[in-house]
Amino acid sequence: MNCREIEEKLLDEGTNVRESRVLSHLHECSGCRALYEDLAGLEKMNRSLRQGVKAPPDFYRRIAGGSMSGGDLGRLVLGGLASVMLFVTSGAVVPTESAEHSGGGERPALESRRSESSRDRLRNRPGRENLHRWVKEDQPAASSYVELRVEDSSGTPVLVRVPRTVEVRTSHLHHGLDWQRVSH
Amino acid sequence: MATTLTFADNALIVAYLKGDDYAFKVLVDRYQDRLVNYIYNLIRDYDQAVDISQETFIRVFRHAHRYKGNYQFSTWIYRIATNLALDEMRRRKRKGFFLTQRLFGNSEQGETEIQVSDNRPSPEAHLGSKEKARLLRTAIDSLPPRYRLVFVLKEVQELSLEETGKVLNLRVGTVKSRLHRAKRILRDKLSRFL
Repeated sequence: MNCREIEEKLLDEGTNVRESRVLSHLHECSGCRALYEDLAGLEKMNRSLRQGVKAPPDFYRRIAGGSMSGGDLGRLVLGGLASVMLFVTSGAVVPTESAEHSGGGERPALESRRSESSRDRLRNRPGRENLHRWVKEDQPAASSYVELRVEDSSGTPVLVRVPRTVEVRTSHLHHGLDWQRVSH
Repeated sequence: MATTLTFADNALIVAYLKGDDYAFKVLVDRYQDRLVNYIYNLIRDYDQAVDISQETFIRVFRHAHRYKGNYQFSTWIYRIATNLALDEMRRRKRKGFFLTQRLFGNSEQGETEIQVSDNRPSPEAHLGSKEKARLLRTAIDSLPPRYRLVFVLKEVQELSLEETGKVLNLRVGTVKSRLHRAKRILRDKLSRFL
């Protein structure tokens, strides 16, 4: 085998090459041996790319939310929010952008780390217009509930425990909240 | 002795179509890290990679009834993810967005490369693995998309040549030649660090 054939073989198989003709050529030819060593180095670097990046912990929950039908959402809403509605509809709750970014944690919520284009795409999805997500980031990540500071009808501050992720149609705020989805 | 049962992807799709939502979750668990990693290695934006991976799963499960089972599920899901990632890459190109290619130059047009002729041992040769991974990512970013896709699928995602060809709708010979070209380019770019 000549150097060109060896090069093709090495580019095909990398360090998995076992053919004795190739191995004996590598023993004798410094140019091909250098290629073999470089490809071995490249394979080693490739391995480092396989481990570093993983999906976020709430990956599945967000897919389930995105693919659920209206009926599924309705059942979740009815099951999870009846009691919370009593508290919140009696008070004035105003979601603000700062609520999304109030966290001091090392890793902000993915919702708040989305790029603008991603936000736009989500906003443009049917049935998901103008959603605000209230997540108090300084709660322990393992907790399923967060505390919201609201005011009752007399203006007295009240702390309410609600499921960690709540999405609300802001267009209906103040006049009968329309809960879109709750997951916990 | 404990026995672990592993259901094939096709069986899980069938179960999902029959109403078993847990099969959905098993498939997501099985592929989520691979997909996020794959897309991240193509577009180098974690949030976008997560969004595109999620969009991929949503499309898979919305159109699960179209899956015929005459090819691997992984081929199908990688193909959807690849198409979405390519859309994103085209969108960025239209908007004039480009990845950081300062170190190696942009090989997209004309494939010009900065040649480094100094072969003396350099401090770069002793870089840590994280730094080497960063350099490799930058070098991969500078590959033209046709080479980048093949390289990432075959060498990073460890798909076979045949499966890579099916994902990209290419013949095995074409996959091989693009892979060779990608490896040669990367070898040249990274010669000081290998």
